[in-house]
Amino acid sequence: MSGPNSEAPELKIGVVGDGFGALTVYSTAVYLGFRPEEIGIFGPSKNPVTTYQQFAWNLGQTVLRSESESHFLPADWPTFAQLDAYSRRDLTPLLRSARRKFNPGVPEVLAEAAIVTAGLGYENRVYGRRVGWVVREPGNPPHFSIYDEESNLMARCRHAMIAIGHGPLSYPGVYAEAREDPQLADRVVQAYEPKRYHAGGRYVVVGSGIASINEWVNIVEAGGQCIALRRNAAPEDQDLNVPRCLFDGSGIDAFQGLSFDDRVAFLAKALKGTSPTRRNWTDTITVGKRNGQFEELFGNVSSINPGASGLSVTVKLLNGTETAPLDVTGITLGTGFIKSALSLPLLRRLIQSYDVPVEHERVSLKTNCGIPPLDRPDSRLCMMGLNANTVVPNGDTIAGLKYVARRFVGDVARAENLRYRSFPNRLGIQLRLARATSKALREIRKTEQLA
Amino acid sequence: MCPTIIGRIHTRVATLVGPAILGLILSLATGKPGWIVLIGVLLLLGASLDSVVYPLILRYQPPWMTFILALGEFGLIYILANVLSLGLTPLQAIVFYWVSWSMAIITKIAVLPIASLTYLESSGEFRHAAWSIPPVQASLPILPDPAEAQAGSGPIVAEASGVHSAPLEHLPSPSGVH
Repeated sequence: MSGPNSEAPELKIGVVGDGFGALTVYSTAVYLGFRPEEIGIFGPSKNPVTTYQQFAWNLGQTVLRSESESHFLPADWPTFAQLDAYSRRDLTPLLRSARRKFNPGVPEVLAEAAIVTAGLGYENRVYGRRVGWVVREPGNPPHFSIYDEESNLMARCRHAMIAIGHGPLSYPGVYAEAREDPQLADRVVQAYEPKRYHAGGRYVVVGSGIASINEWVNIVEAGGQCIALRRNAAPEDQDLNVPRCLFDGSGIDAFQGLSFDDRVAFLAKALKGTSPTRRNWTDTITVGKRNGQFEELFGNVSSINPGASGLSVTVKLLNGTETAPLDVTGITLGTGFIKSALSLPLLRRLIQSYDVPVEHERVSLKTNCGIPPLDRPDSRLCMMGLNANTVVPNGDTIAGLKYVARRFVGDVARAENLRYRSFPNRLGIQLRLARATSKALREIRKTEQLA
Repeated sequence: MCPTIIGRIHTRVATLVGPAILGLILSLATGKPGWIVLIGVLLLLGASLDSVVYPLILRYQPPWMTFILALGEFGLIYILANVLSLGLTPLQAIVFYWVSWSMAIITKIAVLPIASLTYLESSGEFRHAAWSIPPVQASLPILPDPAEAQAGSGPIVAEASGVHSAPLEHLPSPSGVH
């Protein structure tokens, strides 16, 4: 690595990653009283919604799975339903929100993210290169050096948040083998990848979470046939990624009271194949069933070979029998992302360099999301997002990102003796951003609610 | 929201500050203590319900439930106000109750989330933006995990007996007797 560089900026907060997590840490810090020049965002993109936007587009997702409180203004009032109702002079969002049937539209919430990004000067704080190494410097005061992937020193920061998001897309078992075979690779796709369905095609969709159900609907609407392959006989019907009270302090308190192993086991159970009920989705699937376009199977694909229609697939059913080879056009996987910390190069280097403890391929974070043994109260190193859901069960939702960001920035504020913004000043920021969002919402076509 | 008992009490007290100031002003202006006493009675009644009744019947409290609870509390406070003879006419008490409730609900929805960034996600409690369980309070296993037992020795045993064993200073016996 290159030696000390006096040109490197010295920051109070460095955020490694350039997505939703980075934006929530940045907006929380500015809202509480940090100056923008005290914060650095380390990642290639100046637009924190790029990755999410691409995934949402590939999925055909139009509304968030989250509810009204999940949006990007620094504080929780106004909620998105209140903003929507005020902007469009329409009480429907409030009535829906009261029944927990309001989900912010993707275009609307991304517009708000863009307003918060521009309104708080986020783009000016992005150091546009990917981070390769985070190095603990014991000096006085203790800090971290942030290096890019070519080992150039980018900056030094007193406190750092690792917000690098999900691991790579997951292709379990036979699907990974198929992806390696040039004859099969382009017919086995992930729900989060760009794809196109054709009328008359027959597709297997693996999984029963929200991504898979989106694909069921996309296939039926494209005029294709969908074989929904569910790996669990009875998935839980759940609108949020985890049971509702786990979003509150009381639920998170109880969750954190469990041992690390119990927390991982709980997440494995709670997050398995949960899917929301959506009125329009149900209608589409019902019509699809009636028209012979939709069928469910319970089991796992046991072999994938080239076939007359593209692929020849056999499925081992949960009852132990195996289907005859099925001729299909393609397979779409709703199997999500690899959750192993070792799949992320930056984390793997940290783990190898500093003996960061790992259990079940997840970093054993401290109960304050700190990364042992590097984290310390006067120079925090934390992690957020899916990698932190062993501490905060909804860590990979907007609400979970806010939960972690607020506590991390709170710790930093105490360590740095921050002079907090006054109540009127905070209110001013919040209202300024809310007004701008409201103006933008009036210019966006209202997204249809699906619940 | 899934408010805790403490969260309900925090919220109740914080949202009645505004109505209490209004009640005090009205009491001083009219010479009738009934206005401020009504808020006191509402606080006691609310705190009792928050600590004994609501936690039993409502784990998750949907937003629309707030108004239903307000109607129930209105009935109870109306009876109590009559029993206690506060010196207000029924119309005065009814109007004051709903004005106070409106102030309280605006405080709860708009003011408290700005004043305390973690108010909503802390189950209605006013906490520092702090973690549920600080690392120093995290529980440690008393009994070894069977998986750890199968994993073999750790760094301490390696230091004590390995090829690269660390030198250990000869120290007195730990026994306090010998």
